[in-house]
Amino acid sequence: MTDRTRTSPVPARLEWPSPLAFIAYALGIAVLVWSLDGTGWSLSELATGLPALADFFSRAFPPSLERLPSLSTALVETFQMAIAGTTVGALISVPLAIFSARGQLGTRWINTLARGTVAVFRTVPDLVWALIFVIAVGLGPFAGTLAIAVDTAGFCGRFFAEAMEDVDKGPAEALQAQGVRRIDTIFCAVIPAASPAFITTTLFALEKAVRSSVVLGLVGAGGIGLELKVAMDMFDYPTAATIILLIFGLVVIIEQAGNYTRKRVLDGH
Amino acid sequence: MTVAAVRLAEFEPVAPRTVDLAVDGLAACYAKRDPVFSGVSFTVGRGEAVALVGANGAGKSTLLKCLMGFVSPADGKVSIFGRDLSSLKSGELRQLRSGVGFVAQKHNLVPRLTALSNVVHGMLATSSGPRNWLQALAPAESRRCALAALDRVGLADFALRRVDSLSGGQSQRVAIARALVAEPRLVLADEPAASLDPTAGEEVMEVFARVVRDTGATLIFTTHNLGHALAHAERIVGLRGGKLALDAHTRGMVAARLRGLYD
Repeated sequence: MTDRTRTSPVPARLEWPSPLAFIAYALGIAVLVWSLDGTGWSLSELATGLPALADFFSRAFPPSLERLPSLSTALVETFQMAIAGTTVGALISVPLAIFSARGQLGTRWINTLARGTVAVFRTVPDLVWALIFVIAVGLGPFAGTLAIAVDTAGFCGRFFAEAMEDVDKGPAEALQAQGVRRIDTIFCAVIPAASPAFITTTLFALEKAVRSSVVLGLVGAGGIGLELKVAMDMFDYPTAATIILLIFGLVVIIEQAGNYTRKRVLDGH
Repeated sequence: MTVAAVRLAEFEPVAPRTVDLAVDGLAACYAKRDPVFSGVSFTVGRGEAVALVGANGAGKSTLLKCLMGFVSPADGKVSIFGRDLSSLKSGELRQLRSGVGFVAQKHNLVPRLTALSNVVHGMLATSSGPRNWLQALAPAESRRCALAALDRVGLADFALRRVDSLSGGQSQRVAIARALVAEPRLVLADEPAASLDPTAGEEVMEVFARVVRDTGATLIFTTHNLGHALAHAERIVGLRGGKLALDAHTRGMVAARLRGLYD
């Protein structure tokens, strides 16, 4: 029988952090406390506000169906903004991703330019884009659609590029070994392999766009958001409740459809 | 007896033919490490089938990458169809590669596409553009050629099957069809049967060697399977310890005598 007796000590379950890691943790906690304090975080104020919240709900219910036809039209417009903006943005993001993905196409200068464009599109909030496009093309859903398109181009551009960088290089190399042009290998080997990621990212962008298009209405960029703002400003809480329920229903439908499609795509269909 | 001695004493020397590939004093190394191999010289004649053998790390795959222009040699030169690869600009190299078919150890097919689309991609070197990106868009001639290539490897009935639903052997045969669809003059293969079970490996090598032979193309393939080398190559080029240790005809050669390459 072999002797299984250990002579070395049993290792500790948890190791003490290094001094540097300890400072980093402490700094992280300090920033969190500072942020909570700076934003006036107060449980007592939250408790004080609860009756007002209860008052809102009591006045909002039952929701008013009086303006349902016009609200439905605004909801459809919101959906159209999301669909059109996401599609246009996703299409714009494909060339941006091709040029910004490492090791795909273009010179270093073009790569930097493409990556910079994607970064600008992504870092500027959609609400700011909406304000800019309202100035450019006036109030209405077109401004909102443009804002969603730019925001989606930034969102998808980054994730499409990452998906293209992550695909198996073998198929592209096999084609290149036979003298196939780089642009052909991208469209034949890289993009088809990255297509599940493209589709799932676009679906996430669509869900994001539906939520965004509600907010964009608040700055006059079309959709049901404007109706919600008017209802809240007029203290017409029953109508506001109807709008909130309509938005909730639309978001849930889009998310369920997205989940179903994503599952089908990831299962290989 | 050493492999070098075997080469000189027992095997039939290589007779000259029209040269498709010439390797002259080739050396390759990665980063600033010791060379993977050095001083490697051999030629391959038109229509010849050559097996490149050697132990793991001997430099077979690196040599193949040098032949494709993917790895720049540290010394020496490679000429394909009489053109020195080091003197070619990228466009010229691509043009030259359009006369070369390549089969990798892993089939390297695009998984979500059909077998026919993957084979149509093999036409892109000679016919670039969106029409050959998918079989559904491809010109009738491309589709006909691709289907004929699939037929030659016995997979015409699987043309519209997604390649991720095919077995390993079938996938490798699709890769062979893709490599041969544009009728290359030179076919390079990096252990084309290594990822398959012995039966599928035999089938794939049989189909591969036959189809290449039928097209009259020159074939260079690496393998660890000495049976495949002896059965499907006219010549064996062996690497050992970073040097060319063997270059001889397979006629009369037996696998046991090549073990020295793996010592």
